[in-house]
Amino acid sequence: MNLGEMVNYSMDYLGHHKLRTVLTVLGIVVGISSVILLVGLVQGLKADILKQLEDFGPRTIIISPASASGGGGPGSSQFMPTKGKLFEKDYERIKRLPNIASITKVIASQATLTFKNESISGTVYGIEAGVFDDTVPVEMESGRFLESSDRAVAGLGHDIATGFEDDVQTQSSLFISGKKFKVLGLLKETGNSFAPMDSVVFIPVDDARELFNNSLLPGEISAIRLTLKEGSDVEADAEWITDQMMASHRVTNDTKDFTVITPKFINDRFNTVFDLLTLFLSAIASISLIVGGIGIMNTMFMSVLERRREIGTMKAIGASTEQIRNLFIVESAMLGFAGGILGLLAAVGIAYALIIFFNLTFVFDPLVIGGSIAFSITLGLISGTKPAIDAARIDPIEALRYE
Amino acid sequence: MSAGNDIIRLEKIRKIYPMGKGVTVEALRGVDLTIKKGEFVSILGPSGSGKSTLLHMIGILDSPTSGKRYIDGIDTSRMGEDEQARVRGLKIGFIFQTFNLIPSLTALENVELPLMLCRGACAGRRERAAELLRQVGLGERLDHHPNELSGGQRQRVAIARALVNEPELILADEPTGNLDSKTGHEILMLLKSLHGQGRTVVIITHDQYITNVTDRVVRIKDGMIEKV
Ligand SMILES: Nc1ncnc2c1ncn2[C@@H]1O[C@H](COP(=O)(O)OP(=O)(O)OP(=O)(O)O)[C@@H](O)[C@H]1O
Ligand SMILES: [Mg+2]
Repeated sequence: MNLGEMVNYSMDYLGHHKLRTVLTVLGIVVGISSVILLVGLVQGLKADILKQLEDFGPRTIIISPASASGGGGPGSSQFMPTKGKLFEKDYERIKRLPNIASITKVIASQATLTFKNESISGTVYGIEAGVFDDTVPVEMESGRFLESSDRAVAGLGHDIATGFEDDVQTQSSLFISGKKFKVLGLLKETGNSFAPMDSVVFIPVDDARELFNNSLLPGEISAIRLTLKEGSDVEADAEWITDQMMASHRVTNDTKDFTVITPKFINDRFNTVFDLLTLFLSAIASISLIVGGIGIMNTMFMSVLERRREIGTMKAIGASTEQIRNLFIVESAMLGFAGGILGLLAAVGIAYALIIFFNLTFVFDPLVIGGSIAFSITLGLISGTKPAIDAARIDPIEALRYE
Repeated sequence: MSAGNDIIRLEKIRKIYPMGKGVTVEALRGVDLTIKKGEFVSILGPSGSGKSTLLHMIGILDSPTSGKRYIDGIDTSRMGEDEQARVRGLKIGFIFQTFNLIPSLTALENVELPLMLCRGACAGRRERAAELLRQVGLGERLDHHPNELSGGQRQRVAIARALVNEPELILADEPTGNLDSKTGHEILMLLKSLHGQGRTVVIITHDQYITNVTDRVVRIKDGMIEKV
């Protein structure tokens, strides 16, 4: 019997036992479609987020403090109060990098915001006006952004402006930690979670230093933001910055008390997270595939039991053990294959429904699709092996056992 | 010894079934039997006499406990399981009491099955399948499944299947046992006509009536062939 004849034979048999075949295949359909859907959704989410990341700016670098990984420990800051902090001197040092297009220090803090007797808590960024907006695109809904000569003025992110009972307007007065600021403009909503501009109040950095003087060490800043000139090697410059910072902070790679964030840094982090998530979800979905495989095995055992006479007859009329074994393995692989194909179709159908009704992003990775089909066939092969071996062992005299 | 003329030769064949706890049943107790080319033989015996066991021996479906068995002069004890299967497929055409057609296959596919299983040794005989079904009167039923056929028609399909590989020996086990007497008679006449075409036919039965049709009757009792 060649493969075509075996496939034909199995099709005839499976077609004769439609309900059982459909139920068995359904077990694989559920597993395969959930793997393809889950992986596709996670990859879609990842694509969405990576797209947002592009708004971060391809040549932007942020230096922010971070406690030394591994080293330090709770009491260490008592002895080294400057550890894990950034200072003006870091800013001055990094400023020497020739490739810089624009650079700004940022003083960030939580503060109480009061508007018409209503108080909320919000994030305040002290920035160098006229420079900050070179490092990140700033679009205004109304009014204008801060300019370098301004003092005691504020630009409000969308969520802050709409966060009070009464919407804040341009020219309104806003009290930040009790000090009065004039609202110069409102920023457009960005919806971007990587440059979280929507929930921030922007004020001049000198005002911020006065405002938060109590909680800052002399010369301390919260972060440094810079944009490199076009054509710069971002990673090489980031390395230069890292070396400079390590030298000035007297730390090694292992005891680093700061983080240099580049687009690649964020990208790598997210790729790691999403790859883990994909792996985790596929592992869960694979459990349903294993259950589906057990379903195939069960069906094949039943089918072998039922067909003892049939198998005995085939042996009597000349079938070898190998032919019988192959026949049943092919049949089992076909159950897996059918489950894989139908599972793929189901996943595509559901994915399109999700795209249309919920506006979700979905990524069909040919590797995942090919892999799922290959896996479902393999599952059929594996599940069918033991039943097929059993079938091949049946004696030809079974053909003559009459009940 | 004119071995060239013998299809099956059994010498001192014994078959002992172990029943556990040291108990055994001796189903065949030293059987000598030769089937020659072109013979039409019935093997007759009462229930429990060892007919089915003898059928296993003639059909190479099982191995004897002791004794010698030759098919076409070749000792079967030297053959492995798959070699025996190959020999069965090529040299013996089986006809069963319960027809033993594959329910999911059509009449034509059932007849073609031995051709698919013969591992290359019977290429180019596919046209024969339909022709044989026409010869047994089922030319209009090629695409019918067994459950769409009567008992007599099923047995005709089974006979066509037994013939498709041009076997040396047609071995029928109670071929009329599941049929009414009229249909059974028709099947018997079909087998007789096969013999008329020069084929070797062996029928195993407990039905005295069948022995009237065959040329030679072998009687078996208590696992032994009765001497005439
Ligand atoms: N697989 C087996 N295990 C043990 N004993 C067996 C087996 N097959 C047959 N026997 C025994 O061997 C003897 C001969 O059995 P066999 O089936 O050959 O008789 P038979 O002539 O075909 O009978 P029937 O006409 O009832 O089918 C009986 O005593 C039977 O019980
Ligand atoms: Mg019997």
